[in-house]
Amino acid sequence: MKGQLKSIVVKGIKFFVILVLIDIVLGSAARFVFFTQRSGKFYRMSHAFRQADGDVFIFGSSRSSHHYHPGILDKTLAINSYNLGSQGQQILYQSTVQKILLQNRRPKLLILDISPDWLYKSQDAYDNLSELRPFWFRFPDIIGPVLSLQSKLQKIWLFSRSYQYNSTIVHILYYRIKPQGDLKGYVPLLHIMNSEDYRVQRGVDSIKFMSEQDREFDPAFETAFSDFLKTAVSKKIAVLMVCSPDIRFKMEGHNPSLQKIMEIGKSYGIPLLDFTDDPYFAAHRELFNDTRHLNDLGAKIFSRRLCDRLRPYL
Amino acid sequence: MFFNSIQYILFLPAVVILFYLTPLRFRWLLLLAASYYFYMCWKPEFIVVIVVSTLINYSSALLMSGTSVQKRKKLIMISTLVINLGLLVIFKYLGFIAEMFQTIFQSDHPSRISPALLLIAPIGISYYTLQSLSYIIDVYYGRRDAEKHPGIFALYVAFFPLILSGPIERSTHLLPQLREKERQKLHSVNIEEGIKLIIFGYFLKLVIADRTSIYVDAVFGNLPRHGGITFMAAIVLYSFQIYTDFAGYSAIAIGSARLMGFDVYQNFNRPYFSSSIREFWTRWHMSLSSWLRDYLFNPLAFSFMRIFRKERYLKIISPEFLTYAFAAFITFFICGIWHGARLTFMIWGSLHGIYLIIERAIDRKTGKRLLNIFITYIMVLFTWIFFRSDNVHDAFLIIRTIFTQPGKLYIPFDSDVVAPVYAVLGILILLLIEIKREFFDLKFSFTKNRNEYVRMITYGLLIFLILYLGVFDASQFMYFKF
Amino acid sequence: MEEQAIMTGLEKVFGEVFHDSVIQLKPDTIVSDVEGWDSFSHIRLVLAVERSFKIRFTTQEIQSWANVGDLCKTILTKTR
Repeated sequence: MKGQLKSIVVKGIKFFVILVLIDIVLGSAARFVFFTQRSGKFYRMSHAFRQADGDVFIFGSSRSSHHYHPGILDKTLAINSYNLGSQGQQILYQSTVQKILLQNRRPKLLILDISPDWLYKSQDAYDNLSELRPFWFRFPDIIGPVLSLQSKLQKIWLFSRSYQYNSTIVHILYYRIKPQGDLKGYVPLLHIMNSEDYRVQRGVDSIKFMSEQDREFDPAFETAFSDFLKTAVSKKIAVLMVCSPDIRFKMEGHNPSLQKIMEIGKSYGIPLLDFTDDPYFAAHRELFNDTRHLNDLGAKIFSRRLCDRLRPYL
Repeated sequence: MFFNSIQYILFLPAVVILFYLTPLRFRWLLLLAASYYFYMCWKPEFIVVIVVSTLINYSSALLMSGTSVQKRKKLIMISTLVINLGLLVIFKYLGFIAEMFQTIFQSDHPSRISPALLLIAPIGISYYTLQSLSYIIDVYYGRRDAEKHPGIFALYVAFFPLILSGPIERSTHLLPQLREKERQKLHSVNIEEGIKLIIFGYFLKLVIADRTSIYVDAVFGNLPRHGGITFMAAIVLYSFQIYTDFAGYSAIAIGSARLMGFDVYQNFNRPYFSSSIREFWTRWHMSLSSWLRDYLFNPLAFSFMRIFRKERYLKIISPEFLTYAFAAFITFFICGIWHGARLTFMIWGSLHGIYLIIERAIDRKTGKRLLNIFITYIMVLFTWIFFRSDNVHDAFLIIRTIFTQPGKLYIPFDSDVVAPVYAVLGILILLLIEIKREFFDLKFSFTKNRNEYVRMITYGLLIFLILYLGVFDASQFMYFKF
Repeated sequence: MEEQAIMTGLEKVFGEVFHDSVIQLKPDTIVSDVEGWDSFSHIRLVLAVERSFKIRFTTQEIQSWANVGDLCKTILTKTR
């Protein structure tokens, strides 16, 4: 028994050392590969966190990344803007990214593209924070607590370098083979919604809309949203909330989450631009990729129309 | 608590350490408490079913061995079988209703229930019932004595590594081990082998099963929008999903038991390298197929043997063949039902039964091994269409579409494209491992190398692959627009 | 009949069923020791043994065999 125990302990220690070595070597390789990307969503994030400088930063989920064309904003308004929109990310992510950016930058204006459901409880909002994992070692104080929201044990997992780069390699390879153009964070969608798409997706949307009516709020999201506004106000950086065009709903009288968002915004004196009642987009389905997203043409038109209404805030 | 939960990763080492600290004669108590706790983490009330079933089987076995009147013995055996099967039927049907409600209320997430666990409503009953039945039948036929110690028998029924999804153990194999002193001594080989199996199990589950399910669920969640090529891709991925999911759970189960010195039946042995359906069933879900062979097929066959006594039927069919055909078909039909109360499972089982009969009739022995492996795999793939489909209508829709509208391969869009790529990557790694083990095992062994550093580096790399490529949270399920 | 005679007789039957004339049986031979011993040949085997020794087994008897030795014992009691 004693001899066996000793042999197990010795083997265990050896195995642990080997594990740590493998993790350091291959984890570092994974980290190296990760940070040498030149295209794709992770590249956009790492570029935004480190280099991107600008007067105007645009925050939001996929609707933001597909709608705001910084090239057009820059040209028309003679500014320097960057689009931080990120697929599937909600307000927890936005407020984290804001904290990272404002560590050493002083932009003039933050545009927050509002998604109406942001305050509802959502497991996805937590799950998708995983995309921040690769950047944890750079901003442990900011990203650490956010990842702990997923689960308390994240701290332990993050000891492993390989884990920090979990599920990144195929993205990296994919965008190395098929690079996306660098449009300062803007990702164009190229499909033109046809009537069949519209019919099918409207059906899905309306079911979703009905099921959303009695969803609960997540207090952590409300706090994150207030934080976002509070931080900007305290640093004297202007914030503008925008509802970009959406074929699914009119902002007015929409769901309780959106009403709450507007309420909180008002309490901080944040102006709001509403494009959901813009008849131009409602009348032109061909400007959409699907019911939730404008396509490239739609995004360009929207960006131009936005410029006109943006001038007073600059 | 599932094997792929963080709780289990803490629970298992705790139990193993306590196990070796506990004196031998109290270990059954520790394991029984741990097993009941493990079971109750899921739905505490179902423990009642286990306890009742355990008590009934325990006492009827004692009753059987206490009587020498053959008629009485038989009566006890049959009524015990009826009670066991009755419980199974009642709870399995109730379980299905519960599951239906579950799917209705969680309809915004595509089904994330893993295939191995679909068989567990209320958790594990399909497994521990078979385990108890084999015990009763073995005692009846005198293949073993009735167990006198109620605690050890209860542990045999509820042993936590096995209760969720097998392997299905036998009273002649596992029960004696529960009191073997020599076996339960701390031994470094057991710890190493256990850990190796568990690591491999997690690799199968996290790197392959959970990845493949993303694409499969997306396609099956929206059948009308896809073409035949997409269906074929989804079925191929599903064949790996169900294999790695199930084999992964089994490996973790066997490894967990091994940590405490127990030797549990192997459940999967690279089934997709079988050259015939007959061979497939000796390598796929082996603990179930051997159970069915011993407790269903053989009794059926011997009954039919007495019925078919002519020299030849229809001038060409031998009575042996006829016996085999009837017994095989019924066995696999019931095997289908065991998987669930659905027509699709019955068709799946029947197809395997028919395959076996045809194989027996043709008696195909020649041909190249690789070709046979390929043919067998295609035949199995076809049956998975039924196994995965929610209903027969869907299954036939898929088959029709495959032959009539190939369409284009569905590749999820933009950044979503990566999900199936991860799945394919995982499958390629698995194939490399399996081809090596199947065809070149003698050349150089990584996992059983005499040099411990080679073994350690091999498993270290496997852990790296799990950490780097595995699915750890639901974020990978996102952004699948269908 | 003697046990040795039964074993020799069984070896002959096994040889016919499994197309293998050099099968060596021991009392502790089990299913996995004989190549090709599967469900189908098991049926054929039981029938062939019954024919060869001119006996009939009950289900109880067939079910109680764990190895060739058990089979041999059953035949022994039947032919005595």
